[in-house]
Amino acid sequence: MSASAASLEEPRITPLGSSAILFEAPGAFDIEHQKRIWALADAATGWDMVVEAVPGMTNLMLILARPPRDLTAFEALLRAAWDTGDEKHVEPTVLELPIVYGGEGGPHLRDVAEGTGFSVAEVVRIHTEPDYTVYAVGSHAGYCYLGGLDARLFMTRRKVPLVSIPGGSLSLAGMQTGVSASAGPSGWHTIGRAEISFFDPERQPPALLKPGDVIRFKAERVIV
Amino acid sequence: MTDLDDILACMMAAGLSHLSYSDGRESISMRLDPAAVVSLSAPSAPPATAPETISTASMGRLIFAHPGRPEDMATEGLLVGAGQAVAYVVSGHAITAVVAQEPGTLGRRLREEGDIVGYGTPVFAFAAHG
Amino acid sequence: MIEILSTPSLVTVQDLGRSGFYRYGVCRSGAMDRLALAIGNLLLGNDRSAAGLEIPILPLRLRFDVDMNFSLAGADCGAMLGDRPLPPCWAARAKAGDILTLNTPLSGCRAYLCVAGGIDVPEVLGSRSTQLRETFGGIDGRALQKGDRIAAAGNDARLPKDGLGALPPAVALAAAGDGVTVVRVIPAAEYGDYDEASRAAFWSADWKVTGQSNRAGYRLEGPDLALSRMIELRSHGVVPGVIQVPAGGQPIIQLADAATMGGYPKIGVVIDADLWRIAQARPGDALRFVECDMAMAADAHDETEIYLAHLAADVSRQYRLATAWGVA
Repeated sequence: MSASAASLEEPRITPLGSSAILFEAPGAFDIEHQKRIWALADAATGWDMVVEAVPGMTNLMLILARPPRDLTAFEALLRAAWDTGDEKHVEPTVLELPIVYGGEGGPHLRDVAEGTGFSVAEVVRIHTEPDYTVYAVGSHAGYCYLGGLDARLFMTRRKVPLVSIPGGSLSLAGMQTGVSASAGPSGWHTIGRAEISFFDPERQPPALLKPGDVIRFKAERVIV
Repeated sequence: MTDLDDILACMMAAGLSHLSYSDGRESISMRLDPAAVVSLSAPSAPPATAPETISTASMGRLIFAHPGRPEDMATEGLLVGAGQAVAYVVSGHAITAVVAQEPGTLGRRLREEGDIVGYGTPVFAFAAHG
Repeated sequence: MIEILSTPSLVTVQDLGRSGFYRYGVCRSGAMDRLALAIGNLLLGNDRSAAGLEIPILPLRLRFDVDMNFSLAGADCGAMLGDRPLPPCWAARAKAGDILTLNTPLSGCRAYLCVAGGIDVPEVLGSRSTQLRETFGGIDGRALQKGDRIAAAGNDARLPKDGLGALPPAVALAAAGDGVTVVRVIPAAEYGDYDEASRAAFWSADWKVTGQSNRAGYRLEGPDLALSRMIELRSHGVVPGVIQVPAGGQPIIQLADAATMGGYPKIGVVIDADLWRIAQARPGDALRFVECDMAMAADAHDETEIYLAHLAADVSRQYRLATAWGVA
C-alpha cells in the first residue's frame, strides 16, 4: 500500500535510489507529526554516513555519503528514533507578509473562487485568517512549505503547469500553500504576490525562514 | 613501485641493460628489453632519437588506435604535423602518446600492436619534411 | 586566462555540486557527468572536485591567453588545439595564443573542459557550481557569453609534454546496450502502485529522450505509465535520478538542477553511478532501464571508485616518470 491522501498505518522506509532514503511518517498531515519529523531530522544528522537530513511534509529524506548495501541498519535507527515520540519545539519567528491578491500576480485567484464555490473576497479572507507554520523549506532555494491552509481552499494541482511564475508568487495546491522565492515553473494555483527576499546565499543561514517559523498573510490589496 | 620506477629511469638514462644488487642475504637483478636501452649524453636529457623514426616517450603497452576512436589509425604514408599522436602507450588506466616531434610522412610500423615498449622505442619509420 | 571566442550555449562553470543545503531548497547542481569532470581533473593533478566548464552544446571556440595545462573529458568532440588534433579524454599544454576548437561530437552530449588548479571563481555555499535558477555561483550565476574570460587557479603539476589521457569510462565501465543507453534503476516507493502492464513496459521499453531535456530533468517519451489507483502524495525530498511520472503518464528523470522536493509519484530512481550515462544521452537517443537493488548499486559505486583510484595512481606515476625522464 502506498501513501495517499489517507494516511499510512506505520512508517514506510524505502530507498530513494542508491544514495538516499525516504522515511514516510504514519498518521495525519498535522503539526504534531511534523514536529516529530523535525526531531527525527536532528537525530539523523548525527548518524554515520548521513550527509543531510531533509524534512518534507511528514516525511524525511536522508542523503547518504555512499550507497549502503541494504537498509537494515538505517531502518533500525529510524524506527527507534521515531518511536521515542520526540517532538522538536521551535521558538518561531513570525513574519507578517503583505500580499497583493489577484491581478497579474494572482492569475488563478478566480479559478480558486470558482473551484471552491466562494467569492474572491471570501477566498482572500479564508486564506489570510490562519497563522501558517513553515513545515519544510525546499523545492527551490528559500521556498517555504506552509501548513495550516483551510480545508475549504483545497484544490488539485493544475493539469497544465505555468512555465514560469516570478519570485514572490503565492500559490496553493492540495493541502499546501506557499510563496516562491525565485522564478520558475509551477503546477499550483497562483493567487497573489509578495515583495520579499526569502533567500540570500551570502546570508547565514541563507534561507529567511526555518521549519517552525510562522507567516501571517495580510491582504494589502485585492484585485478582482 | 615508486622506487622501481626510479631505478628503471636511471638505467634508461644511463644506457644500462642490466642491474644487479646483493646485500649478502638477498639479491635482485633487473634486465631491460634491448629496445628500451638508449645511450644518452646526460641523465636528464631526452633521448637522442634517430631522425628517421618516431619513438615513445613513455613505457607500457603499444596500441595504434586510441580506445575511444578504434577506427582512427595512423598508417604508412600519412602526413603528420608536429605534436600529432601516431600511436599510444597504455600503462594501467593512463594513456600517453607517441608523437611526431616535427612535420613529416609516416613510414612503416617498427613494432606490433600490443608490444611492451620502453622509453625511447622507435615505433614508426619517419621522413621529416625539412 | 581563457577567452570564449564563439557564442556559447548553456556553458556553465560546474564542480561536483553543493552538498548539505537541500534543507534550504538548494539543489546539488554540479556537473551532469560527474565522472567526466573527475577524470578531466585527475588528468591535471587537480582534486577531482575542482571547477571546470560544462559544455552541453557544441561547437565552441576559445583562446588561451597564457600557457596553461588543460584537459577535455566527456563527449569526444574531435578537439583541435591550433591545427593539432587532440585525442579524447586528454590533457595537453596550451601555449599563449593557442585556439581550442571543440566540434559537434559523434556520440555523447556534454564535454568538460578542466584547467590546472580548477576554474578560479569564488565558492558560494561551499561550491563553485552555477545555480542558474537563483543566479548565484560560477560566473555570476549565469551561463557563459562570448567574450567572457575564465581564469585558472593553477597548480604545480608538470604534465608530460606530449600530453596524457585516460582510458575512457565508456570503455572501462562499458554497459550492455546495442546503441541504447542502459541505466540501472532501484524501484521507488510508488513502484507497486503502477499497474502490471506499466511496470513491465517501464523495464522493456526503449525510452526516447525528448527535446525538452535539460539540466533540471530529462523528459522521456514511451508507453503510458498508469497507476492502478489515484494517489496524492505529500511533498518529499527529491535527488538527481528520481523518475517522476506526472499525470500525463510520461516519465521525467530529475537531474542536477531539479527541485529539491516534489509531490509526483515516482516509479524508480536511477543509481548515482549511472547518472553520467544519462548526461551523455542526446535528444532522440534511447534509454533502457534495468532493475537493480541496493547491493548492486553499491557494487557499481565501488567499480567507479576503483576506476578513479587506478586512474589517479596511474596518472601520478606518469607525471613522476615524465619528470624523471625530462619530458615533463
